[in-house]
Amino acid sequence: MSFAVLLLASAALLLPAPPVFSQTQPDDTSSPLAFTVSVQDTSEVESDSTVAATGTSALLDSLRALRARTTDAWMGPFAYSTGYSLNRNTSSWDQSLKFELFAHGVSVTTITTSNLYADTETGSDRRNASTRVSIDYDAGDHSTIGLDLNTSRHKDNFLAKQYNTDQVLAKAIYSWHESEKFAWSVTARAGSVNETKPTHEGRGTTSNLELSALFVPLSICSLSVGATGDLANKRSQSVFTGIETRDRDVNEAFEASLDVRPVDIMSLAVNFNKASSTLQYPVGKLQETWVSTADGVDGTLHLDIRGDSYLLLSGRYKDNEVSYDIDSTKSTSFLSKSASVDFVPPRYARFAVTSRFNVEQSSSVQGTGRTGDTETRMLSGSLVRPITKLISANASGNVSLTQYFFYDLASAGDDRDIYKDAFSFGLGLGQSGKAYSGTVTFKRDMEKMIYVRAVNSGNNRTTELYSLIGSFTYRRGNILFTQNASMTAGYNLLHFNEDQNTLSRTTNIASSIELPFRNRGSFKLSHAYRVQDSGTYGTPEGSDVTVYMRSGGSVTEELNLTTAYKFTPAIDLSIAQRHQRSRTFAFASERKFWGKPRKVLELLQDLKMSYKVDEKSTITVRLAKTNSAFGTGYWNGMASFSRNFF
Amino acid sequence: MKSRSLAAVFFLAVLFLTGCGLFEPRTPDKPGSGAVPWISPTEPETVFVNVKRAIEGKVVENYVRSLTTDFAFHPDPSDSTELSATRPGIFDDWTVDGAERQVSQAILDQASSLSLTFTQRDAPIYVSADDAVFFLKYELRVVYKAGGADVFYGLADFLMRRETDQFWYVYTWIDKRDPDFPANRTWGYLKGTKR
Repeated sequence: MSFAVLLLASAALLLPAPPVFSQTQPDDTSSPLAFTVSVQDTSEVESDSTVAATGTSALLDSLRALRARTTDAWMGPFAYSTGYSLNRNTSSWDQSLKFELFAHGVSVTTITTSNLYADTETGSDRRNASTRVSIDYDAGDHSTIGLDLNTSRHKDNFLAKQYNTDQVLAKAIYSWHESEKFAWSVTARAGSVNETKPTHEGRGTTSNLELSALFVPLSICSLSVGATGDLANKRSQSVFTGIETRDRDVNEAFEASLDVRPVDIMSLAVNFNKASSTLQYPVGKLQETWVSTADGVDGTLHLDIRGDSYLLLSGRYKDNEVSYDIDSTKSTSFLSKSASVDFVPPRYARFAVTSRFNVEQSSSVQGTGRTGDTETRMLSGSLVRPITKLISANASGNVSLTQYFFYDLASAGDDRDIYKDAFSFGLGLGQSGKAYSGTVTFKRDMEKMIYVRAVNSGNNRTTELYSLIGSFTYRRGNILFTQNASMTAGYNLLHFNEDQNTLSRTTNIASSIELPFRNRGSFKLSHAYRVQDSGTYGTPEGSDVTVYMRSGGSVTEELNLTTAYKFTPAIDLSIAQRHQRSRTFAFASERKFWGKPRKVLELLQDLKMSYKVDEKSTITVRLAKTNSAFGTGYWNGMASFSRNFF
Repeated sequence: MKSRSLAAVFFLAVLFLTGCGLFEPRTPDKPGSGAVPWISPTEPETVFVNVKRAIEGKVVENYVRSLTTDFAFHPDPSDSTELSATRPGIFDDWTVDGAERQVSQAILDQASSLSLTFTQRDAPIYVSADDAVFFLKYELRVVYKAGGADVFYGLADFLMRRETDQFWYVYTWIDKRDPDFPANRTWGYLKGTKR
């Protein structure tokens, strides 16, 4: 879609959009920190902070973040936070600094972040730092002018290079929001950009235009529209060959949403979005161009029927294409059309029946050198039938059924169909607040995988899994006893090669007891016993009968003891000891052979501390150590500190 | 009495729906080649045997079958930096039924043969009886239909768990470059180029 106004582009693909000055009030002393160190899951790899956040949803948010007018000068706290995390051989250290002030119509916001990441096993050493400074001046009742400065530095020792992005942008914002029925905002930015990337370096001009509007013509409907355009003109040079190119990067996006609620029981929502992006850069002796487009429409109709009953109709259309001018085999297209019906019928009080049916059909075409369609059809439904009044006041039950089907009408050799259904029946004993409770569940899951063409049809199979699961809980005062048992049998049946059919069976019994200790501590002792065996179906020599022959299995027993103690409201310590013994066995010539026992003894320590020094400072520490009987162990921990200095 | 009759009708309806099958798969051709064997992953080590067989046998379903529905893939940060420079967000929104299946299918389609080798680089850690981390090295050799070949080396941390069916699956793959082969790309980098 083209626009009447000049569309300008930003080459700030490596950075999020500069922040709009927040509405923090002068007397707002709550922490204004927008950056918090997240180190809860230290097994996660740090996300690449140089990847930009895109999308038109921010356009609509800008209408909701209009700044309140004030003439009083104020200054936000100088907020600093830091955090360090360690997980085995990877470590990460984050820091952030934020400051805001307002005086004489001028507001200044600065945010500086840094990250150091290291992996002693691979030798990785990555360092990121970014600074954003935003200076705004109230030029009038509806307008603001300002300046945005964005810099980022990224150093990767493996790639042996530092990657930089520097932007200076002048901006002007005009917003009108006097009426509750109509509000709109326009933001324009223009400036220069200088960037260094792994493949090329470039400098040039960048510009951006954003438009957003909200219109509420009637109390029953609202229309929101957003559009954005970015344009960058750069002169780039390949770092490998030195070739120079004149690049033009263009991003356009448009989004419109309509919400209608003609009556209380019905609502309709329709969203339309369209986006396109062109990215050019030099590689080798050529200028490469990536063009991507994304169009989408989705609509939802919700109809309340009675009580908790409702009908939900939704449809979605999505068309994405990516084309690469140098190598057409890297071009892809994706077209998806889907519709779904979600129906929750009325619940009849006497029988307490609740049901949900969902039907979805979608078709998609995916390229990368393949031809044909991938079509998905899915039907899923659950029928839930409490049977409280049929058994006793303390018994309940439910039944559920789900079906799923998948068609892949792809190129020769890859056509495949997948069918799944799942059935479960459960009974529950006991009620909330009672000393005892229990459940019993029977489940059957089935999956059929069909390759249509001969090249892969030998892998066609049906998998059936039967499970019987029971649990029991007994509480006496502060003592809690639980027991879980399960039996599963999984069949894997090949359609064209019955000699490879397999059966795997597992029986598992787990018990645990929890005892409180002096209001601050607790002990938990748990025991698990698991027996598993598997085998194949075959025809013994000299026989015409197909029989099941066990091939092997394992027996595992495990004991866990966990002691936890809360020293103060801010400090927790727990120690867990785990002892496991397992043995495998195999069958040969109808004889059972036991393998060597494997023992695991692990001691895990976990110390947590969260201390609020005062209203302005917080310290959090967590340290854990795993010692494995295999001779290996590792530390896992995090520490963070944050403070508002004034 | 009436409620029990209704309950009986309800259960019969459920059983009927289960049995009749609202969808029917197509009739397949008789196979021209053998099947890729599948071993029920009752032990976590078995998962890697199935993955190896699926990749070398070029059966994408057997590979995806070893992953959970909430599977997450984390590329090496340097790979992400390098590829994101020209394809922003290339590793975003990585799901097992989306990107993982699509790029794996593309790799298998373009290869005439593949060879995958896993070796253990450190003892596995069992966070609990049903949750484990395996530290492996891999070597993936690809011979392309269009000619040429390539070898991909890398380190992989596989976070695995036992599901309610008592089988083990991979729920997170953390990919890293192998410092012993600095000139070779990783499997994760190959995935990113196919998306």
